[in-house]
Amino acid sequence: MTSGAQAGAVQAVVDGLVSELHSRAGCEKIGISCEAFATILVDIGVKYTTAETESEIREFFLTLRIDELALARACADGNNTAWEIFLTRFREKLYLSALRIAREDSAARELADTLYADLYGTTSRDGRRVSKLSSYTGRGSLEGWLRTVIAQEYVNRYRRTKRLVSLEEESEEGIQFQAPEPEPVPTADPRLCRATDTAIAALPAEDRMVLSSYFLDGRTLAEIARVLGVHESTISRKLDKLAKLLRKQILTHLMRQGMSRRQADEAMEADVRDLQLDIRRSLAQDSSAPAFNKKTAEAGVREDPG
Amino acid sequence: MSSGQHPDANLLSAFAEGLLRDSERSTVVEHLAGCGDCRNVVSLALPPVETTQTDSLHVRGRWFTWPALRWGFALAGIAAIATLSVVQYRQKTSTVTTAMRVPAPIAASEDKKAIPAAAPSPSGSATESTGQKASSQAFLKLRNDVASKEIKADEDQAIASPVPSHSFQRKVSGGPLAQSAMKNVPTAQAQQQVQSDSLSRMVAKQESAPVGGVSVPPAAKQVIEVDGAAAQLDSRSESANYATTLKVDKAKPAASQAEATRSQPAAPAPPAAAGAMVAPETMQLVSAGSGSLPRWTINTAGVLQRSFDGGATWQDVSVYATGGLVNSAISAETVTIREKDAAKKVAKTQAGPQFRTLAVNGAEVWAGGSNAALFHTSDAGAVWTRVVPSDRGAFLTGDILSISFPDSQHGRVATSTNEVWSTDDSGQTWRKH
Repeated sequence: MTSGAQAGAVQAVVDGLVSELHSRAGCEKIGISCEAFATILVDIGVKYTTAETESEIREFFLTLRIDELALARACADGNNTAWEIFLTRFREKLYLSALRIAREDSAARELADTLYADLYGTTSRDGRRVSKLSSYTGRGSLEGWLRTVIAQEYVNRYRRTKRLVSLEEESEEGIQFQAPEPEPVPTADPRLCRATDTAIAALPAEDRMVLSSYFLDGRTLAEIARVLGVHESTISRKLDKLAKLLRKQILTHLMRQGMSRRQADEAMEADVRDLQLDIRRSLAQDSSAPAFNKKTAEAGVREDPG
Repeated sequence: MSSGQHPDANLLSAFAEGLLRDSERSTVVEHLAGCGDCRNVVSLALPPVETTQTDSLHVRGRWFTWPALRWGFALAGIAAIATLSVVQYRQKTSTVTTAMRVPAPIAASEDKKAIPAAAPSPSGSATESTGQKASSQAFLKLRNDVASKEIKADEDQAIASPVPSHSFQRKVSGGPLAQSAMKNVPTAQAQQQVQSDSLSRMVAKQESAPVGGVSVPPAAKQVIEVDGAAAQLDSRSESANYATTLKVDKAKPAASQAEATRSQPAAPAPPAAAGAMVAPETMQLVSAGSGSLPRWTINTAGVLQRSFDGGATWQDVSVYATGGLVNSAISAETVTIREKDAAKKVAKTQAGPQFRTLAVNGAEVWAGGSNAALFHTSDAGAVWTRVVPSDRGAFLTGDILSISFPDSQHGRVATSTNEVWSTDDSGQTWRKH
């Protein structure tokens, strides 16, 4: 289905649903007309639907958070009633979320103030104030979206401040006078590095995500379980299973490269620190297919934590 | 995927809330597997844990939460245990009197010896003497001296000149002092009554003496009239610290016994009564007829002993001479315990409890000792009865330190656990204080 045909299908579904969704979202009270709401829905539908049938598109629209979508867009348009409702419902939650993420009151208030500014729209495009709320599409809850936006802002800020280290801090940390690290002497068999790399790359994405979260990010089992929506014990079992699977596959790869079983076992006893292997790079390797098509970039405000 | 293609906040929040379609979710997971920043964003954007717990509690309902189930299980367990206990109690508990009546052969044989000594007495009546002791040291002194000293007093002396309070005081019923000191004696036998201090221990010695005629008063106050000329009372005591009152009482016998006594006032005691195992009534007649009541003591090893020869020789008395459990006349409330418990106690104390205190009221002897051992005999040791005082389900515990029976009806028992038990009916019912 071409993009034009897809847009036509979305438009047709929206035309059939807009009146119902318009009344259900209470758009009249916050100053959103039916036509404007239809335009919003079409944009969202085109963004997230690719090859679905009309029924699937209809189902997609019915699962949207229509009322919160209308509220966010009304706020983005500067409707005072919508802002009153928004502030009443989310001001305290937004600050608490910022405090939970930043773990410090002043940083949390600064984070929340920055976000308020973005939500209100301090930047202008073509003479129009651009609010970050206009990028909300109703896929998830507005509260969850706000938390995600705060988290993105926090990660961006952390990365920026991490790059900026004063000379005094470097002196205090001894970085300025730090001797260059000697070139590590590879002691492990390079075949082991290749086998490990191959075994990790062969894992499914979710397994690699679990390994990355646990071993690289230092997340707890409970945190990983909450992200994936499973029980903590499931993650624990998965980690054990993955460790055994990786060992088995690495042994297999080593033997394929000409090692005997005894040699492979001895190679597996090598100290991990001796491996010339960037596990982070192995786990973070990109998949061949892009995760998001260019529609993501066209969706409005770009939310790039990097 | 390049760094510019991070999923937007909509997808990440929808992923965290589980609202993405499968295709979208796999795409996001693929990105998250290789993007630490987005993993951090997703983790930081998770809702607070408290909210999740509250929601889950709300969904599950309060009755199915663990605390409710925990208390429910606890209550069910308690109910089950209580039910089992009641059922077991009803099945296994038979109202077995804990009183263990054990006829002592040695006592019978000694009675047998004592009878000829009393037989020459033309009257066949009994006189009695009692001794009391206030402390264990004094008791030991008394026991050591008792063999070397002898107090002989004829009945006239006893009536006319009562011993001062620090020594034995003999009161013979029918005499001027004895009349005022008479007390009710319910049993139908000759009673030798010893008034003892509540904290004292008592050694009694009595030797039979020939008494003339015996007449039985009809009143409830049982008084035996002793022919003073014929009465020979030989009692010995050496402890001047013991205030002992010797009284010669004669309980009103049963009608038939009284008739027999009246019709044959001077007859010797029936020799048949000196059997090895005799009925209590028979033994009482023997005691009454012979008038030979032993002296009692407890040696340093805690063994109950008695002497029929005024303390010259002492014989160990076993309260479990024959063993076994025999129903007692003592009320069920007082002595009813489980049969199993009684058997255990018998087995435990079969070797004989370690006695610590003694109270003697003529033929009535109460002996108490370790492990709540309380024994009673109403026939000078022929038959012993284990008494287990109980009050509203509570049993006497600890070692018995003191026994006080000012008369045969009223008594108090003190234990090492600071319990004080009292009875007003010869130990049939007890009250715990």
